[in-house]
Amino acid sequence: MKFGYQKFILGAHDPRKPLVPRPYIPVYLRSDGTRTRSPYFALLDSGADRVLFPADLAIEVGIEDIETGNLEPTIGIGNQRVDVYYHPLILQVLGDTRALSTDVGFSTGITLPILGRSFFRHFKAVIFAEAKEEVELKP
Amino acid sequence: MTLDIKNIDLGKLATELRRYEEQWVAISAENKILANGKTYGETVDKVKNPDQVILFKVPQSRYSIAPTGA
Repeated sequence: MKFGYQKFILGAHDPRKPLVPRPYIPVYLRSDGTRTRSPYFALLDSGADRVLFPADLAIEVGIEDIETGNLEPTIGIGNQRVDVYYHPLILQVLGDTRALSTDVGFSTGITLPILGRSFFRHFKAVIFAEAKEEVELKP
Repeated sequence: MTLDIKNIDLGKLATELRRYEEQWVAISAENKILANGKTYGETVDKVKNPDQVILFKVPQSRYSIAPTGA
């Protein structure tokens, strides 16, 4: 599966400046009985150990209180600590039928959906082709 | 019918997306912003055919994104 990078403005808008490309993957989040109604983009982050999602995604798969999960404090690059609660859930890449069992961490302190290396483990290879601005997930 | 992700080009929406920083947006198969909201659920609730859109949480454009840790 190949996905082209998505591009964004960074900093003050200047039409002469190139947009910043980022590797986003379209996924669904599932539990036993429910699935997010729409797919959503999550950022592939090879520097993150785990899968981290904003807290508001939890209720979409029937988790009313994220704090019922396993607490694992998390530290980011700026040394900021965030309390993350992990739940055993399933990820599904749009266009792929495989159910990828993954512990997903939720926190009110996480603002963007992040796919860390616990997601990468489901693939033989994850190839960032920077020149082509494309990422390939090899099942 | 399912969404063809190849039709989604956030770069073409880059200027428009700045208005929705830190919000969720729902983007149609025709690469149009159909709805926005503070949460995923609030945003999907505004969409007629959820299977035909993709949601995106718009990051702040004035910052780079760094590895998260965890």
